[in-house]
Amino acid sequence: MSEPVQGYLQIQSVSKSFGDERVVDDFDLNVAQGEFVSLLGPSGCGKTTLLRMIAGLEFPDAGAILLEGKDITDVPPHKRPVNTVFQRVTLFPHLNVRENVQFGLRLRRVPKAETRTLVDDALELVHLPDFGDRAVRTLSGGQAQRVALARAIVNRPKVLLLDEPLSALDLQIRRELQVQLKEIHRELQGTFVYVTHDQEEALGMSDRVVVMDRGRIMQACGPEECYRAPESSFVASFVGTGNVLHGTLVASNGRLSTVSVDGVPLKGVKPANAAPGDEVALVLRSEVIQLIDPKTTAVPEGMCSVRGKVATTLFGGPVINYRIDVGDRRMTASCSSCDEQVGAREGDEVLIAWRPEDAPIVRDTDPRLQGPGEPANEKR
Amino acid sequence: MKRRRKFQFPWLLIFTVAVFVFLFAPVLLVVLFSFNKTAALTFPFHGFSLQWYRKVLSSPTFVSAIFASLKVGIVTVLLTVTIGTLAALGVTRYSFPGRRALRTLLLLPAALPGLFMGTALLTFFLVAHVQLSLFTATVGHLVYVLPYFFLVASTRLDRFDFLLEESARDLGAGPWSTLWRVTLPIIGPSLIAGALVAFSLSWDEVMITYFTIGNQNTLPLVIYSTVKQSIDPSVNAVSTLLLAGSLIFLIGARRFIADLQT
Repeated sequence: MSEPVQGYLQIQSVSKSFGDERVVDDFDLNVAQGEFVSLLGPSGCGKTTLLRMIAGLEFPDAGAILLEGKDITDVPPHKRPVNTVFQRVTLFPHLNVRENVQFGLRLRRVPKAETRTLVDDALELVHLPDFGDRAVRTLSGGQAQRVALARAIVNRPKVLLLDEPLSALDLQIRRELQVQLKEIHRELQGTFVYVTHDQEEALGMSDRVVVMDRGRIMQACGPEECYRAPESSFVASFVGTGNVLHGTLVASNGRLSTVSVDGVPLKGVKPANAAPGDEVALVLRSEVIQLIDPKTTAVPEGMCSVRGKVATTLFGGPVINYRIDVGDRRMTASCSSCDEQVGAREGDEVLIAWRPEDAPIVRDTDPRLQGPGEPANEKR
Repeated sequence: MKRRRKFQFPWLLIFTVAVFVFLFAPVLLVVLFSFNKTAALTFPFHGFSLQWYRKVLSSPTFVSAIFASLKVGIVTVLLTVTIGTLAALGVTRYSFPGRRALRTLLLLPAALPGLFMGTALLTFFLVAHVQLSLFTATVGHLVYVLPYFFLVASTRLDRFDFLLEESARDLGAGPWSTLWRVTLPIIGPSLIAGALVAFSLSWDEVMITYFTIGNQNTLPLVIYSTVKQSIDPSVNAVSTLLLAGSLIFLIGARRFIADLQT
């Protein structure tokens, strides 16, 4: 792909309130042409509202939305060159698959023959080539969402908006469609804005992940950077799994720093934006942790460790997941189930060991979200 | 498929049959005698004839009453569908103060006694100095029929997913286009069912019509006054026509009512 045009879609200082609640708060974002951007955040963080404002289904209280430099803030939805795939199936029940897909083309009076080709191509693209004559009610959930996708992309929208389109589907179909969606993006080279609360979806598909909380951007960067170098404890706990240990930054020494967690000094990578005495969090991803049997093995050179007791083991196929009690705290670790050295059982004393270089230390933004776990709420 | 137990109580069977005979024998008799050759309403039958129908259709009183009923019914249905659909859209789609109260209020006329409605409308028209005519009768029918239609339309719209409309807007349809291409086609069958029910209610309405029609006549009123004066077998024929009219519309409505239940 050629060098993307910066600011293809520009969201400038956009705010939106419902009643007293400020859902989107002075939000700025530039999306490049051809970019796949995910808006990732817990329910109620404003990501869907933001998407609906780009679609024209809501209008901002303040700020502006520009597409290719043109202000479309007040343009009604049917006059915007953007299309949306919604979370719920919104296929028109009185039309068959083909009639659904050609809905937008018919409104724009595209000639019949051309419409036919475009619809066939779109159905081909979503791997449903022979479904044109099917009634909508005979489709499975995954098929219905693929038809909805075809119905949107057949119009060649300047921006395709996706509002958690996969969240109502079974895990297996969801995974399969993630791959398809990424391939469709590559083939069309379109600009996609994807809303999700599922970090796996966001990390897997997008060029850039925008982590949101309470109507604001917490961090916007590539998926790997989001995962490996979170800037705050919110991002660390929302993106990826593992342990986010809240504490106080004690001292720094070269590239490494020490954090006091419950009075215990633990080592990690020195944070860019914190000074000694600041509230910080040490991020220990499950996969950087090595479990060591203190009776037989010494902690290797250059690693630091804490002692704990295995509370629960969960066999997860490729990995074994451990819940380990360390003092009053419960930590998680996962080890490849191929690894023969690992044999910790429930009740065993173990050492949780990691290389400090693998453990980022981040600003503590939000003590609400403690440690590992799912995002707290599921409102929508 | 639901498995049903075998029906095996002889007394209950006899009782059930008796109830149905009681319910439908008079209806069948009227239909039967409408085809009788003689004027006597007694057995035995003296042969089959269409003379009473011929008499009805050549009587200016009956024919003009049939047309009056059709006029009132059709205009009532058109007004009911327009007002009822808009009202149903309003109370199901928008939130505004008094929304629930309005919903109840729109259903209320169906619960009022016909006699009361008739006198109330008559008083109103007299006070307002409106000449009683087919028009005032139509207004009366509208008030009486609207709640039934509104109930059907608002029930359907309660189940309507308004995200479908947003989808249509998103795909490039303006507000009118969305209404014509998405909303109406989806709720249409229910509206048609409601309209058919509305027509059959209007078609045989007597009480309100009696008070509000002045010196004109609809079919049910003509039948009523004819029966009062004498026993004329052509009443059987015209009643059968009335019955046929209602049945056609109710059977028609059944097809569309299926949509209400999905």
